[in-house]
Amino acid sequence: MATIEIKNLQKTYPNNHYAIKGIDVSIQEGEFVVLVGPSGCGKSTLLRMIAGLEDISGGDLFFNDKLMNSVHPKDRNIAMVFQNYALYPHMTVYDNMAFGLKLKKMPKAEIYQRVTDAAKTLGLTEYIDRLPKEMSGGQRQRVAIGRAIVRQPDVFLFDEPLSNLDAKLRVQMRTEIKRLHRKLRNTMVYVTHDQIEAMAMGDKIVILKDGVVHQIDSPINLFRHPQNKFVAGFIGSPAMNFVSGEIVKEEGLYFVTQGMKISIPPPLQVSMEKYLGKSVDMGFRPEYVYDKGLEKERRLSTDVEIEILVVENVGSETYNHFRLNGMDTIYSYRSSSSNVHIPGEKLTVGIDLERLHFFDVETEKSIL
Amino acid sequence: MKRNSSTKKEQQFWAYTFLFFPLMLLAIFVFIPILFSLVISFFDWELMASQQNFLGINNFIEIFGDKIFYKAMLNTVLYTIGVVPIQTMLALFLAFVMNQKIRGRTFFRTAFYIPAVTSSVVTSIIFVAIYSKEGLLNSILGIFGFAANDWLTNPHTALISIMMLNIWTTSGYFMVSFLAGLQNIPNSLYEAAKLEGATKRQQFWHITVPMVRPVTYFVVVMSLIGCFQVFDQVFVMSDGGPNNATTTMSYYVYQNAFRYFRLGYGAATAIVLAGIIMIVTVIQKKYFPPNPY
Repeated sequence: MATIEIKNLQKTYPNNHYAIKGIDVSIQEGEFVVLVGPSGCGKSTLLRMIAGLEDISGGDLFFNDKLMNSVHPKDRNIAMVFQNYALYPHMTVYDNMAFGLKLKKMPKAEIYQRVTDAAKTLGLTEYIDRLPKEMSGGQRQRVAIGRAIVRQPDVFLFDEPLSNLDAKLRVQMRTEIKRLHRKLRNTMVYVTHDQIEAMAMGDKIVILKDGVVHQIDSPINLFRHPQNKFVAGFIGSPAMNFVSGEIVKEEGLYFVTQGMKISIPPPLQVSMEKYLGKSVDMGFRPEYVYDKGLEKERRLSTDVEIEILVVENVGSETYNHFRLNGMDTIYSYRSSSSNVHIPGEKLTVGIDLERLHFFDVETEKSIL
Repeated sequence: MKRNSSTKKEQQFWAYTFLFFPLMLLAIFVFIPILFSLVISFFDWELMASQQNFLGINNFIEIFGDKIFYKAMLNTVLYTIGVVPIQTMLALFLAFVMNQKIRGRTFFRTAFYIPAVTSSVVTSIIFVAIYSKEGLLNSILGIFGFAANDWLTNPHTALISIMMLNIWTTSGYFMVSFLAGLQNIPNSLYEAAKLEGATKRQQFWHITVPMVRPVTYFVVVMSLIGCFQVFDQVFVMSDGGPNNATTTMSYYVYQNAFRYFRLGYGAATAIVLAGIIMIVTVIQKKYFPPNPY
């Protein structure tokens, strides 16, 4: 068990490329933290710096208040699960899991005990004598996890461990990893590019882009209160819709754009005052757009006329892609599967006023 | 409009046309000579004679009573045992080192590979000079107080000298094969081992060696065959001497066929040599398969 304290951590490559530009994260004991972001955001680099596989160019890394910057990977008491499993192809499942323990010169009986226990936990007992090539991707990844478990590390690091698996197995394995976390209660740091995986697994999510932290929060807070436009657009599927418009004052404040005039909800009236006459970006999630003909209870915006372009019916729900009158951008709106629209259909919708987000055009920060 | 899809017949026609010429060349210079040497191994073949004297298996019977043949076989086996393991290990070690991020590795790679692309006659002549009584080797050893030795004319050192030359010339060549093999090993295996506390040496023995096993197989087979057939270095450096100390099987084949003009006997020894190489390769394939995992 360990806490991890990352202070102003930096990674610079010799060609002056800044991969990590001063990151601060603190990870509590037993926490499941997910590092997520688009490719090239530095999430894997950060994980590899925690592991000691990459040198730290600046800043400090502490495990349990102990400076780790120049501690050799093997002395950090961590275990890592790699995207390509990194199993030794010439060793059986047993030997793969036992390898690190043998190097530590642990007594044979104890190695046997630990490996068989881990195999049991992961449902690998009957495969113990197999070679990796005789197993499926999911089983191999389980062996890789087993290899991490037997070492009883302070910290588990996962580098996109499910990316090589097919969609169904990925969902299954992510539950298994969560279950394992509940059982072991170890500190785990998990890297993924998949925001859904991040939301499903993390106690705490660190959103990275271009080597900078954009927000650290719980999944629900990221969804409800994104701190900037990037986080707002990154979390959620289908992604949040954004419209540019202007703030005008009549009997109250309004957000106005072509064919849309939306009254600013009361809690935001004060902070929006300073944007009067300026342009801002408004964001609204596809989940919070409602068919005016059907939804009567929520406080919806004034009427918005849309024309449906494409309909994706995924069974449990339907994603409707539409254009706001005259504009090029395509937006989306989620409806229930019982309310199926057809392409070309004209519709009057409203947006839930309590679920609107506004962003400063220059800083892209949320206006709160 | 069926222009873009040629018929199967057309494809076959062109396939055989393109195959014909290389096959013909191979037939003339490889297959027919092999068959021919098999045929003449049953004769006392004379180049100028109009009628050849059929001996049956007498040539082969003679081989098994021929002391020099046994000496040649012993030399070849010693040579192979000396060269193959050292050469393979050296090649792998060089490749492992060259695969690290070290300064000037392009220079070293080239330096190690140059002997492999240099004519063996040239390298042999250079080594004759190095091994001679006034040569480089003796002057270096002289610094450390060793007495000068005439390496190639001393029966105790002649074979070893040729072995050293061969190890030097081919290690670089096989290093390139190993380098290709090493670059196919995913880096994450080393990283995983590093996290588990494996030292560089342990990484080498537990990951590199088993992972390059298919390459090792290839290298061992190629170098076994090469060693069993060693000829040019012997021919240039020692002529099989002194007192047959460096007569190898290939050289003995050559000697019989083209020095003593006993073409039938030479052919018979060549066939025995081919048989031995085949047996060794089959044994290796059976007991040390290229890729057991």
